Amino acid sequence: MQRRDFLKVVGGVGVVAIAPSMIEGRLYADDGTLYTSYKKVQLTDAEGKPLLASALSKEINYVFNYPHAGTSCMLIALPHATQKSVRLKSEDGVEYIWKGGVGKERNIVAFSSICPHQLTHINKSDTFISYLKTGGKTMGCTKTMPCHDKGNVIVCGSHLSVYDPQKGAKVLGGPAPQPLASIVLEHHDDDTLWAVGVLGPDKFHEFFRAFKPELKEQYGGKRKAKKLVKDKAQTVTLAEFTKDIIRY
Amino acid sequence: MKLLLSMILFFIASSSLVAADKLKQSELASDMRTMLKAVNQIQTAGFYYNKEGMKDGVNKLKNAIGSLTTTDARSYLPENEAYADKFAQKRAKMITMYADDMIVSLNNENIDDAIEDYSQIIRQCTSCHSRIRTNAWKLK
Repeated sequence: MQRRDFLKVVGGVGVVAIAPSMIEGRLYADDGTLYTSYKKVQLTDAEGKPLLASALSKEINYVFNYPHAGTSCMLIALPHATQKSVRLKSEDGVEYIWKGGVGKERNIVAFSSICPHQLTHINKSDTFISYLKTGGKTMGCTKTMPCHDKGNVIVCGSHLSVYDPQKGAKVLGGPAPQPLASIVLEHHDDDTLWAVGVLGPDKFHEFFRAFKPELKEQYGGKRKAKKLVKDKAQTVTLAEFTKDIIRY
Repeated sequence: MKLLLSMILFFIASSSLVAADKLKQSELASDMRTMLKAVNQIQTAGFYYNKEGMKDGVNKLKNAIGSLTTTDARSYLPENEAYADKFAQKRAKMITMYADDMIVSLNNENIDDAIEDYSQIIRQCTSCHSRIRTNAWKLK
């Protein structure tokens, strides 16, 4: 091997080792299971300025679209640091590791808003799935469940599936067959937030198939809604994003 | 005397309101039966690729579901499920949306999309029935 070629190989491996998110379409989780990397996208505020992790209010539902223009995600600064390296399982039994929240307090998390049960999702006209802050009550957390009257859960109001955002949206109750897909975030030294990929089984394919008429109405068509987000993802509060927030 | 008259008027008004609610429920039952027939028609016509039969079924479905999208869902839901009015109304709106899209798909000869719309209509029906009706049955 020529010296120049050798240096190219070493350099390439080094880049990959430093920033794994730079490899698109490759695996990212500890063992590479159920991870898809997409364009690295910076989260911005409504004016297009970089969104700073320290500027997020705790326990407020924020929304950004990623990895597709029409797939909404929830961003939450949780009240406490999340658990680390949570073992999760997909509907078909594949296990994967959710590494935990980002930010100085390791409390910032993001999940795809598409409920894997019947594809309920955050959309512009009304929203049945959202994060319920600490102390909030939901019918999804029945008296026998540890989350009863405690909040700090994500609830899908359609059929009352409950997810634990501290543990990678693990299912706590209800008919959901698997966790929400996680959006893998990076927190940089300048306090900016970046989305780099999706961990866990996503429901994008089924979503685009099922909501064609809605996507036409809200994004001008399925093709436009399917476009991958590039460079920036505008992040707003759920109250700004949707006309009606419905919780049970 | 005035008090007696107002009591009588109040009684008549409240009785007519109860009657209206009961009427709405019977109308709902009738609409539901019509919708079931319409859905059966879409499916049967679909098996034979009878486009006009499918369209006719979709139109019947849309006519029957009209009352669900315009009426306050709390008036027809079981008392213990009345809180879920927005959920029920959303399902009705989604059915209308897929029905509209199905007509477009059929007009464009896009049978795959039409079948997808049909399966989504069924999904909305079962979504609502699994939540609202199952709970109502559990209490019986």
